[in-house]
Amino acid sequence: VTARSESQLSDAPSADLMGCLRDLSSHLVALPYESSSTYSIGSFPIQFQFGRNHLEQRICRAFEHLATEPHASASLTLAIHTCASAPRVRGFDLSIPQPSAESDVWLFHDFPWTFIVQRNGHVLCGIDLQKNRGWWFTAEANEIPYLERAAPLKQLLSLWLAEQGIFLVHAAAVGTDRGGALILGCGGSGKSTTSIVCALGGMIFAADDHCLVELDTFPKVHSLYSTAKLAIADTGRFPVLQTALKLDGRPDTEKEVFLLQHAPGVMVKRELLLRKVLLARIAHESYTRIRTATHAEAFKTLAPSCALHFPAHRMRALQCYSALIRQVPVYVLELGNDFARIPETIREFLDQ
Amino acid sequence: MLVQSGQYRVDRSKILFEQFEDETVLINTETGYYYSLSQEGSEILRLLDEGCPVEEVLFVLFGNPVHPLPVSDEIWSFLTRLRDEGIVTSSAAARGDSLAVIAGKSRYADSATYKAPLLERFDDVRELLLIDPVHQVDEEYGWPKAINTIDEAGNSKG
Repeated sequence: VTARSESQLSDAPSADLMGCLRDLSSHLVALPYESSSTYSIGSFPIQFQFGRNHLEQRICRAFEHLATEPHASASLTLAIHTCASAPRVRGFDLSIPQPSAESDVWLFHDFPWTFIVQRNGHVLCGIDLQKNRGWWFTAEANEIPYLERAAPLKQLLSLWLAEQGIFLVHAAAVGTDRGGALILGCGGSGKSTTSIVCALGGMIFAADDHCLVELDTFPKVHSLYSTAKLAIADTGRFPVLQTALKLDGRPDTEKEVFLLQHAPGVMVKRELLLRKVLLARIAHESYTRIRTATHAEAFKTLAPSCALHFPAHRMRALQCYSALIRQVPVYVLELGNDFARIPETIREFLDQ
Repeated sequence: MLVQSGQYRVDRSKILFEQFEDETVLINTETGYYYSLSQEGSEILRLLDEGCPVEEVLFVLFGNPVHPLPVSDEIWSFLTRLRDEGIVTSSAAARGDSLAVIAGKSRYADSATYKAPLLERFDDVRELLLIDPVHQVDEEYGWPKAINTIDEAGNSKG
């Protein structure tokens, strides 16, 4: 991946685009919808209103485990549409200036609305942080990008949840009835493997790659997605997953995404009290060991997660991370290659 | 250019300043760089942040306002780097403590335990910020406002 400057363009402003986004907002939030569902995300009841029934299956599989009873007053209401339910949107000119890459995120501030344009204009969303009302739009339901379905509405939810004091982190989370562990580490440090072997080994699964942390009386980790990603070369290590439900439409270059709430014997939980923070490292030994870490080590491992947030929230996210690792004991998890022993080691450590 | 005399404080609008038991970590949320400070560096930054004027740092650390080279050079270079990295910004706030009170805390009076202050810069966070770049746009500034503009050399233009 090529790292580039966050802001290089200096073209003339596009008042038309801003006007289009405003009109689009007014249009989408007023449209009728065929069905609605409520999901408990970060303990907040969030109502999704689907312009077409099939959109829920298409978009929300990754947080099916967060589905809850309809709530009289949802904390946030999101309208989900495609051209099928919002045909007028075809008439809006939403072209993004070039050069723009698939990964570029365009953030438009137009008080009280914030608009997010992603994936070269193929995914659009907006949120009114005053009225806690928003929308998400893509042209065709069968063209929603694979990675968007693996971690749906990540930018929009991250923005709203950060306003509520709940911050997204790049971490796995597993636990027992007594509480959970947040497992941190850079790519390739063993987070996903650990969370999958723990989930298949009888522990509670909350996240493999992204989850939410909240500082409350007791720090908590909230599950966001029940998906677990594995490189194709690693899937053979977990025969039980061969029959587990996978996200369809995987491009050749992407990892397999398993919907773990449907995997045999896996317990997925919405939230865990946070008892330990573990910094994952591959040890190249048989045994898995756990040793004390310093707060600075833990903070430096957690700090890169601030990149998951928009600039306005990065400072608050870092302050939350700092407070978190001062409140929860931190350790290094030296992962051995005897996978069968990993759940046992972590479970015993959590239950101490 | 060397840092000027006067007072400087950590620019908390963009710098997170975290002191842990074994290390001090700073993160510039605009550029994505993070920094690790040695014990001496951390103490100097804390002194500045508490309102000690630059020209009095040597006096407070060593109990002597005129310290021989190279210590003096090391500290002035360090202070200049803090400013150039955007970690500290000039401050007009009046200092609370009197010089005599602060001088009483002099910790390196014998110079024996002193080591040159170190500021190490890392780019792990910066690389992540630039993988999915966020372009902020509003009507006043158009495409895109340079809230997070970083030039090719990695310096913040903001």
